[in-house]
Amino acid sequence: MSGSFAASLKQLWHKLGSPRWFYQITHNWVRGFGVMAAVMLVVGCVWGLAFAPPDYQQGNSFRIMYVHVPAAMVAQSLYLGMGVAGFIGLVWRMKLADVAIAATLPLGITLTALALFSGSVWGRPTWGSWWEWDGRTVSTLVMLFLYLGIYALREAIAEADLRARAAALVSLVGTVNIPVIKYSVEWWNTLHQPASFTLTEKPAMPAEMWLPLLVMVLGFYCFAGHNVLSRMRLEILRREANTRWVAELFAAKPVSASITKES
Amino acid sequence: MYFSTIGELIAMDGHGSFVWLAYGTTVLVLLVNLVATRLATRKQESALRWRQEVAALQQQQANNTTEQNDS
Repeated sequence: MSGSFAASLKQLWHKLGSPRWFYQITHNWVRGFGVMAAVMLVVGCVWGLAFAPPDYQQGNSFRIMYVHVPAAMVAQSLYLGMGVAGFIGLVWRMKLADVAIAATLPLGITLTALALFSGSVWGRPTWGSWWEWDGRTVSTLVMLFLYLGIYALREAIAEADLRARAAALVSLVGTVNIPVIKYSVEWWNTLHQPASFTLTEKPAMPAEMWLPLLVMVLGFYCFAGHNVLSRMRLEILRREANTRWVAELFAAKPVSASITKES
Repeated sequence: MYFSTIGELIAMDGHGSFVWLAYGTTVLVLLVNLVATRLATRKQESALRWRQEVAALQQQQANNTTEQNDS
């Protein structure tokens, strides 16, 4: 019994490595994530901007939290995802791992930049400064440089196998920065407020303040699911352009075939 | 709604420019990612379709020539 279970598990693992299988099953996931992201982001933005009560100390500037926190959380999760993909790519040489890293980079870079920018815009009215060399800000800046470094590395190496291994290694090593970002507010004396929100603990804020944040965080995660899966599917179509299954998927319609027959 | 007028919602007690700048940038970042991915996918898909179209035409031509040679 356990032998057949292990065999089916092994089969699933092999399937996961197959770009064709991945392309087929993710078709509906992309659509689902897209719809959920659209609904939650619209609801969350309107709720956070117009209906949540202002903070008793920060006033209305605290509404920036509803875009700043989700951007930072998802940027870190995406980096962690690249680290896991890097590990899988290095150990099992799975082709999809490099596809995942390539597809995560654009969103990871832009969301990290967004987290830094929105933090800066929030810092001006709250801390009285656009930029502070604070632990969490600096470690997030390091994450941006790691993202950009991996992107540049992939652009610079022409040989596919070497490129995949180099990107996987840097992704994996760079994950040590993630706990630094997370615990920076506890390790160093900082202006950054401690985590106002985690997925595991009950928040200190009243519900009418954290509920829109929850909606925004989930909306950002759905958007990331939609965008990364879409980019992975695109990358698969590029890499597998010469395979039979892609040829069959984009085969000429019978209509045009009949036209050529008549002429 | 927390604000009583649209004007108050835009002004946000003086914090309006910061809040709207942050939200505007967020919308821009998400839209750029969405549109860039969609355009690149369309481009790749039409290239693949075009390729198959050309392959089908070449196949047709090859068939025609063999038919002519046979007759």
